[in-house]
Amino acid sequence: MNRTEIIEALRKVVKPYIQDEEAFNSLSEATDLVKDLKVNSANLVDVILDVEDTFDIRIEDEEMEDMLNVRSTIDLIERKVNEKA
Amino acid sequence: MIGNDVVDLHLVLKNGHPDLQRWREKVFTDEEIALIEVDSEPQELAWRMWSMKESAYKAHMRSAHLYHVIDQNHHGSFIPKRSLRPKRLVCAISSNRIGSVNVDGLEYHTTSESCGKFVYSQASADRSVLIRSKLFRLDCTDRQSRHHYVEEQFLKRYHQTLGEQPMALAIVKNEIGLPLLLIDGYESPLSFSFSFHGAYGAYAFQELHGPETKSCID
Repeated sequence: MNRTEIIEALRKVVKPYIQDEEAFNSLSEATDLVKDLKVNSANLVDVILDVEDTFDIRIEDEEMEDMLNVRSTIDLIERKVNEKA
Repeated sequence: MIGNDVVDLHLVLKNGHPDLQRWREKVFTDEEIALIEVDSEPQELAWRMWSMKESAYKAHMRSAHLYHVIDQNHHGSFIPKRSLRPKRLVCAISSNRIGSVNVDGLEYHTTSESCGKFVYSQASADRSVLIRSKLFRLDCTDRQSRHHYVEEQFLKRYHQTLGEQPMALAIVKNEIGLPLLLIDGYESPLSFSFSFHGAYGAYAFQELHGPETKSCID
């Protein structure tokens, strides 16, 4: 799975939780889940659960810290998916 | 340093959660889960502890910001960093209202109120500070207008505490999204906090003198 595929899958994961359509439409690696997409903090936990299900990985507590922006989330998913392969 | 957080119970409970147990395991420590499971109102306690954690996190970010400002000359020694690790914020429950949250060894005292419709918590690093706070039920659905309304109410209320002198108050956000108050263009060290969720929005600020006001719905 390459970064483009990951970002496309991630786009689907975050869609139900975003509160800023404009930022969502221009989602890129530089996008921040809280500052740009305005995902509320309770829903950030839902994003983590959905990422686990979508990519069939497990996010450890200390790794949750990396899931505030798209770039570090993709880094984490990429690493986890490759570890599994 | 203070923080506040409101949870709209209707919003979080209306559909239930498809994977409640897993959600809880991401957010709560084993001890917190044990407390939730034996409580007569497990959902309400879970959301109360969530709002305690959120309010303490905001107070903690406020402290980090102020230390950072004071400590600018030693750049890098204590840079506030956002984090998402709810289990690092550990709740203790003393009563229906009173509790505390431990964040990396620092303790924040919390008061929470719950009425079945919402849970509202406030956290403070110092038990003796007075918090002026107001919770609103917001009719407008647009995110920006809701934020704008509560910010305006806060600025109006805070302006009254400054006395007769007219001053220009404005709110800006710093790089970690923490709201800062500018008075005539200068950053005020005031500790304050906003919270929005579902149909509710609230402001809280730390007051040095005067009686504590309880939050109420307009």
